[in-house]
Amino acid sequence: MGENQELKKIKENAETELNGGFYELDFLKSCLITAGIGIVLTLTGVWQLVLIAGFVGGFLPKKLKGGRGFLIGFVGIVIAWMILFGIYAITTDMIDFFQRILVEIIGLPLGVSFFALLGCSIVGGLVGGFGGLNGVFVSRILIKRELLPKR
Amino acid sequence: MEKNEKKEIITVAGTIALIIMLSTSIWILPVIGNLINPNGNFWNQINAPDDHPEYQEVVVPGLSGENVTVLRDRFGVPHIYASDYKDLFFAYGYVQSQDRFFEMTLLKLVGWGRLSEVIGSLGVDIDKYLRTIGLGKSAHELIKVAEENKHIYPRTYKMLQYFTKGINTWLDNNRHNLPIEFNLLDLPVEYWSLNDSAVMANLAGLMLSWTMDDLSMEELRLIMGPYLKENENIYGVNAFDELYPDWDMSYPYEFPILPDSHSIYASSKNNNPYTGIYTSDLLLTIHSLLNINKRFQDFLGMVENDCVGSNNWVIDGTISTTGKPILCGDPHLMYMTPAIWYEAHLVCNITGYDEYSDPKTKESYRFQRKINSYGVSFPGTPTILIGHNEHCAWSETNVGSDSFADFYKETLNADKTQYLFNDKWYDVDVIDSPIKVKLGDFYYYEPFEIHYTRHGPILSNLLGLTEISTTISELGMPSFIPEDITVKYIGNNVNANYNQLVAFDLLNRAQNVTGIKMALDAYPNPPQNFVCADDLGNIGMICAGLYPMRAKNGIYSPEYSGRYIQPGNGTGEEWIGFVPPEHIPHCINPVGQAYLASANQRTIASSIYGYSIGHEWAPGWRGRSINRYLDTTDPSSPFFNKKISFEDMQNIQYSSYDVAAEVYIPEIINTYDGLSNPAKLKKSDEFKQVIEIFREWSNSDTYQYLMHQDLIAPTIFDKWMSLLPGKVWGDEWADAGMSGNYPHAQILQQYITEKPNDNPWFDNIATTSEETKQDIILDTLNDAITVLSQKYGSLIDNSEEWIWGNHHKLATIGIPLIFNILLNREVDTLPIPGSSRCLNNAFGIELEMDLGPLHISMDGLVLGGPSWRQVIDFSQIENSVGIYPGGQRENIASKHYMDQAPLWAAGNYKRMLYYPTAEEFVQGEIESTFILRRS
Repeated sequence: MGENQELKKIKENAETELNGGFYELDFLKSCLITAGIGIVLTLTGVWQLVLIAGFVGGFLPKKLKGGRGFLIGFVGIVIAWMILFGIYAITTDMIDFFQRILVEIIGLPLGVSFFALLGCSIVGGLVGGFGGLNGVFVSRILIKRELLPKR
Repeated sequence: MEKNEKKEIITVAGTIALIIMLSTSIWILPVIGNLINPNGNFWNQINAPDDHPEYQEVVVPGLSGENVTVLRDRFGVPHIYASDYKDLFFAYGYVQSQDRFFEMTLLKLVGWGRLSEVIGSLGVDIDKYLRTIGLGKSAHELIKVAEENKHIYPRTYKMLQYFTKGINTWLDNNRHNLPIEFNLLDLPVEYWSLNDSAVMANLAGLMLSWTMDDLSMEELRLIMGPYLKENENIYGVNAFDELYPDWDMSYPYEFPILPDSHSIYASSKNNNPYTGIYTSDLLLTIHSLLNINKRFQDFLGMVENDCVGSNNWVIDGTISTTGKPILCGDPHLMYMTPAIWYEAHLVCNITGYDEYSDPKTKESYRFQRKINSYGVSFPGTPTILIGHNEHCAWSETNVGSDSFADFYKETLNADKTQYLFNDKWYDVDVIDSPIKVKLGDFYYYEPFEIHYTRHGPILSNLLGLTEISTTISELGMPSFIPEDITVKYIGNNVNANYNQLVAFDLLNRAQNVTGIKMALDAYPNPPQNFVCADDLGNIGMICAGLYPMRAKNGIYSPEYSGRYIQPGNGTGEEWIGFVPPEHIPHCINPVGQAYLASANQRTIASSIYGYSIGHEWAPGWRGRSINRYLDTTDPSSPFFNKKISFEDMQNIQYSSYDVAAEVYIPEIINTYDGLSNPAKLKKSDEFKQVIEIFREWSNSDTYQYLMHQDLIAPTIFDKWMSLLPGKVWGDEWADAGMSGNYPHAQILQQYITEKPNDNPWFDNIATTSEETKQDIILDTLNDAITVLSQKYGSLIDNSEEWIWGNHHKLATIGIPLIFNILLNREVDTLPIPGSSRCLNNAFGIELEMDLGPLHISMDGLVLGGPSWRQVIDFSQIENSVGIYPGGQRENIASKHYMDQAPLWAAGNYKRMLYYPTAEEFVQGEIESTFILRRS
């Protein structure tokens, strides 16, 4: 009984670790919250702070899987930056700049502006994703320390 | 350690690595994080307006006079109206920076030899090269001289000071709004200094007056000299002199620029044959230096002397339809975007005159204090270099002879610390000049020293350096110990009285041609043929500059022409001074001729001018072309017994008539017609077609000998012309072990059109048969057809491809071109007419170059030519026109980036608006207004 019980306890702990997230938000909501924080932090001027937005995103879901955390951070920041680029595109002549240079002078195809902006967002998303990954692992460490009994 | 903690540590490490990578610069690439984030500098700068707002003001507390008004017209040309000349130049500095600050910064870095700060180790070679030539050093000296002389010419010095202040004020106001290139290339953001303007002027001078012709001549003399002597039974006793005429002989079919027939110091023949002591390493040293120079010339965009040059001419009132002079000028330089020229109109309506007197003749001249100049400047310099004021107009062509740089073979001691001169040992001056090289976010210093003797920098020290010696081993040369070759270049010569800045300041304020002559007495470098005219009807050509005079053992003689490398130990030809201003070649109101014109050909015939000022001159095709048009007494002129109008002058500037075609096409056709059985020729079908094309071209009323972009004949003829010299001279050259540097085009013409059919030069010594002139002409054509067929397909099936315009397109060196080349894509630009032999000088380039890991390949692109065209109408000066292949703004997204180029390519012009005050400026012509307010 001793060994089985130990195994059972380990399994329980592991499950708690993995399913004991501080919050219980689903994927989409997590991404949107990450995006919101990402927008605010980007506007501070220190773009590297989107790492923090991703980090927060890592804490949000109940299921603390590394891959999920990364995705939340990544998608969140991609959304954040695409929104910001979208706002600039509508309120300024930025797209005109692309039109002029990339299309008319250098001669790349028309859709390149969208892909260029998406590409930028993806690079930013990588940083957010790493933030999310960090968030998940730190969350797990904290849960284990706080919620689980000492062995 | 717990599993999670392990994962976290790895993740943290990965995160830190990613952030560092995105936040720092790798190699020479920009910081990626700055580019990608939406709130970064990059996107803010993109959002900044590309063009000037309709109305804008800036407060400048230090203005000396009233507010300055800058009105930009619909081409973005600024018209600056100020009440004080200091304010005028302040505003000019400010305005130039608004439009061209990136270009000014980049060119400044090139001039100082600081390109490595931007492109890292890729730039180290070129920096070492430019620092050795010494542009920066002489810039410092030039400003020192200007400071010492500022009590003589106070206005000139202040002009430069306030211009610099204007640039720096703009910089202070726009630090957060710099062009995006500063971000992308991580360029240093620095205040402008007086020395920076001087280095820009020196860089321009380098493009025009730097020459290594003496080294080429030495190579020829050392290789072809003995070869021709050995074979003098075949080629004649004086073969070398016939192929390379000395300074006091002339080329066949030559039209020197100046026609005056009064002698200045009749020359005397001194029969001392030329001797020297040379080593076998000398030849290899020369060969290496020439190759290095060629490589850097390609990089800097300084193409062969034949092509960089210019045209200018003026007709007086007796042959113009207006009864007043009409003046034309088009300088030929590399095409760049941002453009090499910046167009502006500067106005300062103050009264009064400055009087200067000639120190020798004591005659005094008045230069008005008022400024009303329209024309073009080099960005980063404050004066109008080509243009006009209310009374006069001027334009330059390059003198470009070999006389402006002399080379010396120095005798150094064993550890290279001292050099021998007149039997005494002197210390070699060493200047420590470490080069700052970019590597990611960091910089390291590459040690570098420049060694000087009294003559100048030791150029051959460059050969000892690793990267450059790799090039030499690529050339397949044996290893050798370089000789110590120094260079004395007029660009490094700072004379207390001579000052470029003073010359142009006075020139802009001259009231007549005599005033222009006096202004140009102060002009040093690069020597230029200034064509000028005034509204009183005078015309002039002043070939201003420093022309070295040489002496041997202290005795002067024009024989000492600096043609070859001199021994540096004092036994050779030394500079003792320059041709004095009163003897500078010039002509005002020529007798018996109603025009003056220059196209870089010989300045003046040596039979009427006793100073030796050079041997190497541009081929005379363009000069002959202009003379053909403007000599209305010549029956072969299209204007024979007619008057020439303002529109005619514009058409002449755009002329793509090729005098070489006029000379050679009949030769080709006659040779073919003289064949007994043309069907026996290899490629007889193609030959027949080509000859038909040539015949049509020759007989056409509208297209005769025009290098027009819609025709096929120019493609074939241009290729034939490029292959002909090699066909005639190449076999003997190869036999002697020499390559390139063939005799002058005019000599070749003489051989082809005047020498008998069986002249020994026509025989190809590599074959057993004896070729004749007929064979040369037809073999060259055969080769041309072969080469072109390989590139474009067969003429019979693919004739569309052979059209000249498909392989002769305007291309400007700038971001779009570089991108297209890197992506190996077809460059889609404007087909243009012309060739390097037409007045519409359009030299197509075939270039293969390696720049670090990049391989650059270009074909059929015209990268240089008339970088500015102006036609000045003295009957109504405000009707004068100008145009250039570019635009006023360096911002790629601006509408003024290239807006003048399509007009230029089509041979059209725009009016140079010339309103005397801001109030008189027609409202509809103002695109934007910019006020510099006192407070």
